Amino acid sequence: MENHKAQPLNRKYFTPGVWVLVALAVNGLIFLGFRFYGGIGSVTNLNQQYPWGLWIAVDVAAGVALAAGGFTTAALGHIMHREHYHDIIRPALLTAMLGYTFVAIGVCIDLGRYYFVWHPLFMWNGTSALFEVGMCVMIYMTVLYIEFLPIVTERFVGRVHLPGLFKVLNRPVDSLLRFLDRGLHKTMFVFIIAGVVLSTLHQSSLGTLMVIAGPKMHPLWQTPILPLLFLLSAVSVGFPMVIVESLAASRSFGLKPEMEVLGRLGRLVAPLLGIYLAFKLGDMFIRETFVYLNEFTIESVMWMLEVVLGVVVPLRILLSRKATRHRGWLFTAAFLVVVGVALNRINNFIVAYTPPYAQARYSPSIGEISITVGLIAILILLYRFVVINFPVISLPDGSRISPAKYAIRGAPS
Amino acid sequence: MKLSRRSLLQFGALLGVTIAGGGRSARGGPKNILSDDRMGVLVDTTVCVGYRNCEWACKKAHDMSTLPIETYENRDVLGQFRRPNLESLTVVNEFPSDKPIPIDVKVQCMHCDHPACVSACIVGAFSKTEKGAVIWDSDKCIGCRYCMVACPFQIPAFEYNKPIQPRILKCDFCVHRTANEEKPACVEICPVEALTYGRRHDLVKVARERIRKHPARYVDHIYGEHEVGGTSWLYLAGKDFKKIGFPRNLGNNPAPGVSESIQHGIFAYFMPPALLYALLGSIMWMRRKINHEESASDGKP
Amino acid sequence: MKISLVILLFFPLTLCAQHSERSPSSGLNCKSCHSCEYPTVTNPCLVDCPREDLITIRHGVSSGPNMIVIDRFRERYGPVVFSHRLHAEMADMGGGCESCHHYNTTGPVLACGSCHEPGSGSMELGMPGLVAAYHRQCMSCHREWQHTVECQSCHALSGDMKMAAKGLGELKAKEHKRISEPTKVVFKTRSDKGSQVTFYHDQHSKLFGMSCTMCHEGQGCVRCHDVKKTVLTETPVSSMDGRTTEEKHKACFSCHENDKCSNCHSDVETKPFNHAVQTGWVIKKYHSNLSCRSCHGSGNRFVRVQSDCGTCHSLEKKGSFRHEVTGVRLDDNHLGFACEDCHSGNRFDKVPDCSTCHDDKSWPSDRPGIPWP
Repeated sequence: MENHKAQPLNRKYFTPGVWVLVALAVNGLIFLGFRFYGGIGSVTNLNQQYPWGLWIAVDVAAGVALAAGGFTTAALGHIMHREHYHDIIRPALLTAMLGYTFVAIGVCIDLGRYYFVWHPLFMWNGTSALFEVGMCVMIYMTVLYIEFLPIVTERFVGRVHLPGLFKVLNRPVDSLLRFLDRGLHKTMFVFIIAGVVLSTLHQSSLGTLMVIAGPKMHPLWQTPILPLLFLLSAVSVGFPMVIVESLAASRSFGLKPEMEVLGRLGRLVAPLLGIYLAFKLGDMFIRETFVYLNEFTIESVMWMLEVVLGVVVPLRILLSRKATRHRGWLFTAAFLVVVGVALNRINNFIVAYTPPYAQARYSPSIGEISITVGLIAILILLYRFVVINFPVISLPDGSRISPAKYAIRGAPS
Repeated sequence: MKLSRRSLLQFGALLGVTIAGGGRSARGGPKNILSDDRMGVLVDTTVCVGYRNCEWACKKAHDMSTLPIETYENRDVLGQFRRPNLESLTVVNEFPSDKPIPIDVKVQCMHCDHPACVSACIVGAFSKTEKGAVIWDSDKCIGCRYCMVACPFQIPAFEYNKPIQPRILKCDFCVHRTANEEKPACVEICPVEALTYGRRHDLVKVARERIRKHPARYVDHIYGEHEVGGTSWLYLAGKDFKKIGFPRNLGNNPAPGVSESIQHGIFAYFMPPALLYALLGSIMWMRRKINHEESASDGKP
Repeated sequence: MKISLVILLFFPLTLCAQHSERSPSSGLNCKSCHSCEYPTVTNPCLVDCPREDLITIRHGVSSGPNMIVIDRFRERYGPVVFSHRLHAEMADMGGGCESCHHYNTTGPVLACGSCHEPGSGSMELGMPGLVAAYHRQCMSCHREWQHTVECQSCHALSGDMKMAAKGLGELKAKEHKRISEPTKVVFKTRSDKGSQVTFYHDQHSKLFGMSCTMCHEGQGCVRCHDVKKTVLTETPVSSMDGRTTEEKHKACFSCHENDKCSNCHSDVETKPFNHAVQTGWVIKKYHSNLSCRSCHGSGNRFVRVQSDCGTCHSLEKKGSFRHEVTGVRLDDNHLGFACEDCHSGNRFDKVPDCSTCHDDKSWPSDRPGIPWP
């Protein structure tokens, strides 16, 4: 195995693609301005029948699910201690961190009283699934930031260069970073395990959210094991998300894709997807909801899309050893899983939600879509900024034979 | 092969933890005192004439803008199906019947005995008072609208067009009036007393007695006696409730029942998360040890 | 002085006039004391005292008040002029006084306010207050045909007392047109049991004592008064087209369910009911005073009377039966016998049997007494 070392990428930030993203981001920010000036109603199609829409389904639910790469790779790399995968932990961690940051921003945009977002910290309601999700996401986000800290210290220890007057602070900042580095070195395992536990909890509780909607939710999706399905799907989408992102980044930065590691990862996805599919279909047969597939409705079509396109097809591809070695096939399969899970979240939160007195079906407005797209654009821009400036992506480095510095942290050596 | 077996084992543990203890009883959470003396309202839809004075009185009692009461005589609005919203916390809908008189049904918050909104609210802004009212606390609310997702009767309304301090609006059972031993505004104004305010237990008896005395007039069902675990507002009608605008398939179990037992299963004294934490910790420790041994043996010739 | 004298004289006179109008002969009628149609010794159904000037729900239309002005809540609303007599006339065609005076004993007609407390809510949970009680009574019918619940349809707007007075005058004189009742209705049917069904409407309502609502159920004021004409558009009773067999027979079957088809169906117009022809029992003097129900029970279906008279007449109490009602006053020789001695087997429809004692005598050439009266 080639030796790799995570390092800042020496690349130009702005490319034509980046400018497109900037345009999308600006467009989203303009609509965001309207949202804060005129209220949620001024940019969304939400109404008294449909209280939750695209923002909750995509920005929050799909966002949390797709950031599952963070905890699944952490579990694989740190807890299962699979050394091969250490190179992908940092990108996955970065995705999770940025993902959760945007989930938090998405939540704030969707909250009517965003300035009270801290209320759950002090006003507890143990029966609320949303409370649990909120608390876990808040804590997990902190944990993610802590997990990311070593990357910052690694980048800046001994290299603190504050401009102008702040020069005097160079030394204190540097010693603070060194202190953090030492402290985290010993305690990181606590946070890593906590991250996995917290993720397990809120990924499943995100499913519990819709259980309370009861008969307002289409029977194809409404089931008491929704939390389990959410957890299983989050676990199975974690690696595909890392694969998609790694392949996309390597293409964007013109790097050689780490097919060997990604292919291994891809083969791990198949059993996970299989378990998810088994539970999903098993639940369907126990509750005999397959009768709804006989009807030709939006619900049945979306369910078929979600399951066939998002689970069955990629499962078939990933079961082939040959396909997992092929960059194109691997990307297709992983991308389909990502789409499938995103679709599942959209289905659960939008398509399945059929309130008894709805006059018209909800569909997102231009404003909602713009803001969501804008947020995703900003997320990608930030990702690019971080990997250019911080040691996240591993590059072949023949001269040094040491695993990534971060990887050995937390080891009770 | 070793790896997949282990990962399976691990996920098995996760699953077990997630679904364990599903049937535990509710514990903690926001205030919900189910007093025997909690009040309720019995709505007799066979008596209601669709005069809509209740709509007017409700707005007056809640300082909402309203047209003069005379305008409420206009029956054209009864032609369209309306829902409680930001403009009115209660509305009267009219449904055709096989008798010469149509059926008028007043709609407002049902004030469930086990309210989904109380269970769902992330900050516990909803509570069920001792007198039976389900009320909303503006000081806590963060505007997440989960109550609207949860409510089986689709009652709470949200001020989407307010950028600052949007409110959740719904019938509050006139808590400010009942605190002074006054009746709710709608009950007091009703010219035919289609609404009866009293102890919920007594109202159920009154309703039963009416059905017994006039079996031809009523269907033998008190809506709200058992629906979603019981509601403070009860309805009598001469026609199947599903045909006069009441939601279908609600069942008799409390709306938040399943969700709460899942929540309590996951968080039973924080045991499942703690166990998971311990499990992952030990796996981590064991794997590390094995790895060290492996690398040590690798180093040997 | 003069005026007061006139008033003094005039007032009692008018009172007397009103009184005599109610009970022309003696100031009393049966209903003054008895609440039921046929009081008996065991069940005299006496009404509460004082019976003089007592109006029960079994009184006729004219016994009740003509106009009532409800102004108990005059501070809040204008007075409501209620034409009681007119409404009573209408009620007379339907459910009777009870359709409004729903809670009544054999005693006097109770005013709404004697149970329903003024204002809203009352001692008993669920019992409407006086305002609601009024509203419910009025609106339940007015809604059926008016389809509105406008206040002005009953309440004179306050300050508009002239209108109210005018309305008072108009209503006072107004009389509800009597509904003309057909004597008979001949239904043409396509039934193979007979192409005609002759229905004697007057016999059913008067002779058999059926109330209108027994057949015309739920056909109150709306039948004629519906402003939207939703009810009138329905097929008239006499046309049976487009109805199911069950619907066609529904009204009749509540009593005639077990009768033969030929009881009603025939190819020719049938004659009205005649007790002598249809049952073979001639209704003679004493029985002709009775209603059908006195012998045939109070249920919807008439119960067949046993021929031994025992259904009505107690045979146990010797001497309680006055034989002269049969047209023969028993002479002293026969007075002491038990009924069965002559009427063997208590079969009073059969010829009495004299052969138990007399070898040479037989009914009707020989009689056990003198013809009576």
